Amino acid sequence: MSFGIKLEAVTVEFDGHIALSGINLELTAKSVAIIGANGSGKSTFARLLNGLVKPTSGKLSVLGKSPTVSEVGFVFSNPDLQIVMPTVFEDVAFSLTGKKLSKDEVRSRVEAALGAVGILELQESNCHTLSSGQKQLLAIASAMVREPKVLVADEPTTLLDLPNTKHISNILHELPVQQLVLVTHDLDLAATCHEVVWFDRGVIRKSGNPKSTIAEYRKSFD
Amino acid sequence: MISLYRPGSSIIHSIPAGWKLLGLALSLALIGFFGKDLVGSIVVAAGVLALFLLAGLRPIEILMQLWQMKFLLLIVLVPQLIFAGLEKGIYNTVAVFSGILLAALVSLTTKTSDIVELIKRITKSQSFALLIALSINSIALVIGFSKSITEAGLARGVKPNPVRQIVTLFVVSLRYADDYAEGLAARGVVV
Ligand SMILES: Nc1ncnc2c1ncn2[C@@H]1O[C@H](COP(=O)(O)OP(=O)(O)OP(=O)(O)O)[C@@H](O)[C@H]1O
Ligand SMILES: [Mg+2]
Repeated sequence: MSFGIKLEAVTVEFDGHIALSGINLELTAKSVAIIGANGSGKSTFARLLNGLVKPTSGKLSVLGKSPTVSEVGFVFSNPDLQIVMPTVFEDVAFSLTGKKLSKDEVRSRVEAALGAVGILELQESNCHTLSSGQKQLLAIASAMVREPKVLVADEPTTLLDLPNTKHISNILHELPVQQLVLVTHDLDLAATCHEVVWFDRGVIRKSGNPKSTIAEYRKSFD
Repeated sequence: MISLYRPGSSIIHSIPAGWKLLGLALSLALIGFFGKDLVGSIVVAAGVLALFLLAGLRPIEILMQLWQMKFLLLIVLVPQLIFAGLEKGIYNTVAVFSGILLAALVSLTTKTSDIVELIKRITKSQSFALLIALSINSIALVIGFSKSITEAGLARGVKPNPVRQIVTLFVVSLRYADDYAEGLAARGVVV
């Protein structure tokens, strides 16, 4: 099968500490939210999906293949960690380094990516003077310019206010990707996805319908 | 002292990076050669001003660049005044600062990516060019850390102390470097 994300008995260990334990999961929904307490393994799961973390044991495939950073886009909560170049255009273009594209192709792809997140007019701006919301949009554009089929975002709205959170959420859902994986503590944001997976101390506590999964997650704290 | 790029469409902006750097080297040689008397200093200073205006930058920009270099100005000017005398001291200082301003003009009007591209062409090394880009970018980052360390100190009632400041800056930068490395890896660029 070449569709979606599939994990078979995946375990991830860091120096003897088990971060994820025997995960079996198949995700085919267009958008998936990952929720759970601090340290429950959400980021580890997200990093598995683009190959930043390798499974200690078990099998994992994204779109039928072993995942690689060059095919799965990734966005962190702190966009400063991903900015390389001083200006917006250059930073997005940096993602295409080594792709052997002509200057015109680079320009049109960068403009398309900036347009998709609505910051085309900022292309000549200095990255370090952007607002947090604009920086996050830049990080998304930098990932999207490589035209990934899957985009993973690890708490992309943690540093943002409510209007920016809503804005980023809308933008993320409209991106031309086959699958969006969204790690978040924001349950309203999680509710915008088609499927929700709840991680609890390295295992999946529940996954499926957003409404019932989120409701049960909330109830577990009462 | 690396000034960040100011977008623009002036003649100066549109000169290719390589020619600009060559022009800078030539100008520096000329300044060293001719900027040693009254006429020379006036010509050099006027030339720098003219180039800034030609680049669409306001004269205030020159003052801002000079203000960033205020301590350097003192370090250069004072010994010159003492050892070379008032007149020669001023000419020499004008020459040194015209040179620095011209270098600033190049970085104000040239995109980092153009400079990086040039380095890549000359050295034939993508990773070396990336190293330069990262170094330039890290200046903005480290300045940001430095500010937040000062503010964090002030917020806790600690007076800024240069040694503590530098040690903390070092630790913060190292810790950040790890996260940054992961951020870079996640961008998926293979060099
Ligand atoms: N590189 C690492 N080295 C060692 N242990 C790690 C590493 N990364 C994660 N861990 C551990 O694995 C567990 C799961 O961490 P993970 O970052 O996946 O949690 P999380 O659900 O993303 O938490 P948070 O909500 O705080 O971001 C934690 O106990 C964490 O300390
Ligand atoms: Mg996390």
